[in-house]
Amino acid sequence: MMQIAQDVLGCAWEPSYFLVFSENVFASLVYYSHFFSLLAAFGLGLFVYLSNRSSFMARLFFAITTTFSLWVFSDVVLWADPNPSHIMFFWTITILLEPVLYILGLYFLMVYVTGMDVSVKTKHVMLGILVPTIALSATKFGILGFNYTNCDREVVEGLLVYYGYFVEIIVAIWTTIFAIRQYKNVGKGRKRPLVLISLGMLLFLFMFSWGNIVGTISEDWTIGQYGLFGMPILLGFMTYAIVKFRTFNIKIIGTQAIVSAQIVLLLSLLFLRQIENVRVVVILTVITFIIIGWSLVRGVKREVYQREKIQKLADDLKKANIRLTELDRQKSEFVSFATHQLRSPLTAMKGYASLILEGDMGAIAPQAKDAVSRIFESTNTLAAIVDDYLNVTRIELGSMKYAFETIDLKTLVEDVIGELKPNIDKSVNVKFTFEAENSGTDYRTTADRDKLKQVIANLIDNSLKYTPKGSVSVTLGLDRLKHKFVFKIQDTGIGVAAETLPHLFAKWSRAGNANKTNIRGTGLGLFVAKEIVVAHHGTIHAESAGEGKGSTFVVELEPFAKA
Amino acid sequence: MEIKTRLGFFSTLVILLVLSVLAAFIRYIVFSDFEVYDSEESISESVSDQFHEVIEKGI
Repeated sequence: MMQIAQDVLGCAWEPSYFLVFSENVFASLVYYSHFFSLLAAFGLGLFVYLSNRSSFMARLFFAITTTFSLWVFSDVVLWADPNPSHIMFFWTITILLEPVLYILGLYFLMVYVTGMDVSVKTKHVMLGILVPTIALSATKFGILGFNYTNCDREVVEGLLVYYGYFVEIIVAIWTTIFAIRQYKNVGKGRKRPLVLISLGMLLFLFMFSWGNIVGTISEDWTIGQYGLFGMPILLGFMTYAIVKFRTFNIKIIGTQAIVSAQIVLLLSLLFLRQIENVRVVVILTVITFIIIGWSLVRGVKREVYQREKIQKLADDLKKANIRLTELDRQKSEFVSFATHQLRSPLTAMKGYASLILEGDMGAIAPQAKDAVSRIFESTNTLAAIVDDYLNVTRIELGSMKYAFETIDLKTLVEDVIGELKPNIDKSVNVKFTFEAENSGTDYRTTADRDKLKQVIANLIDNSLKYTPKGSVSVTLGLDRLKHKFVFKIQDTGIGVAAETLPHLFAKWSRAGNANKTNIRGTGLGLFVAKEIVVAHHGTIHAESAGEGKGSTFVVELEPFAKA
Repeated sequence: MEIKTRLGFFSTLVILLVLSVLAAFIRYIVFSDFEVYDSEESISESVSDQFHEVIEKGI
């Protein structure tokens, strides 16, 4: 084996240990930048690959990180080793691997964004770009020779190095054009990872070349070392992209990589001869760090697993919610269908009972008349319940239809009171009054006459039902400050407990004391009333000083807007 | 049984890279076959020669 001995060249270079540890390395920054990048890259790549051997993305990622790690190792040899043959060989490796790294990065971006392998044509172009470097790296076009002028331990690079810069520019342009084109096509959720990986790729190319360019121009290779940190940035962005596929967890890997890198960096200090006196301190530091690091990794693992568990529960809950919503819709459809079927026989029952009561079917005995009268009342109650159910299902299905027109609110209230006269007369212990304030007021508003009638009737009927004795007073007026009609019904009835008030307008909600007075309520009337009032851009609310202290229901509606 | 007759992108790339690394290893490590420069003048001359060689003959 022929090798040029360093003593022949007459330079006082220090020998190296394991190719990479020597005192020729002038700054610890070189070790930090190289070992940190090497460990972060190789550790991440290996873990991703081992976790997802069948994934093409994972293999591609591993190929990139391995290539980068080899490059970093070769580069650190150039700093540490004094043997010219070794320097020639490892320098060639760096020249060879740089364009491969750029092309693989671009390949990864394309596969990630499109979700499939690149076309054969693209592969040919990529291979074509790499061929000159592969073919010529071991020739004089790669490296002209070893340069030890001023004992610098450098090589004289051939023209191939410029081809490397050319490849870098081509890949940067290709990446930019590809990312811009794809940005328009990809879905909203994938835009962010696309931007991150593309930026990571460009940043990596920039930092990598920046390190070389600054070093070449300024002869200051210390600044150039920061360029290597570009790779962890790219890896970070790539990792983010892979995490989006849920292939591995970045937090655990990140912590493991950092802890491992720190341990190796500390251990590497043992190989430097100058620290003979502090070797014990280093060993103690390593042991302490291993313990702290192990506990850190464990803590992060636990937190990540808990987060994943919560995420899974949230996903399950989301699915269950979707299923429940669907079931609720099906239930509403069923109730709607069933109540529709009930309506027709009820109408017939009501009609015939009414005919019998009015004597159209001939005279009937007083006892029979009393029975038919009860049938008539019960069918009325049942019809009202069926209507409530129908309205609720229409509201839930969003199929409630409104026929808005200009109506006179005062006339409407008077009509409702007229229709409810039999009920009012029946409440002999209740004094019923109606007063429309400001008699000259224009009470026109835009509303669905029948729906609003239903609301007013429901509120008056409720007050009458839940007021065994005392008074029910209905007022209608115009609040000039709010510019709204105010329909108010105040009674001295059973009242509402403070804890029930906030839920009074919810579905199936009934006041705790309601059953004592009226056992037939469904708890749907006020819910339907609120929905109808809201559809009229109005508000409805209830006030009560408590059980047994009466209650007040207030409906506010907008007056007719004159053009 | 189908016999794969075409090499894939990665296989081709790896084979070419290995061959290239092997060539560099044999040339530089085994035979130490390279020029040694000890002055800036000789370096400039060699770089200039290579540049002209490429311009005139092509690679």
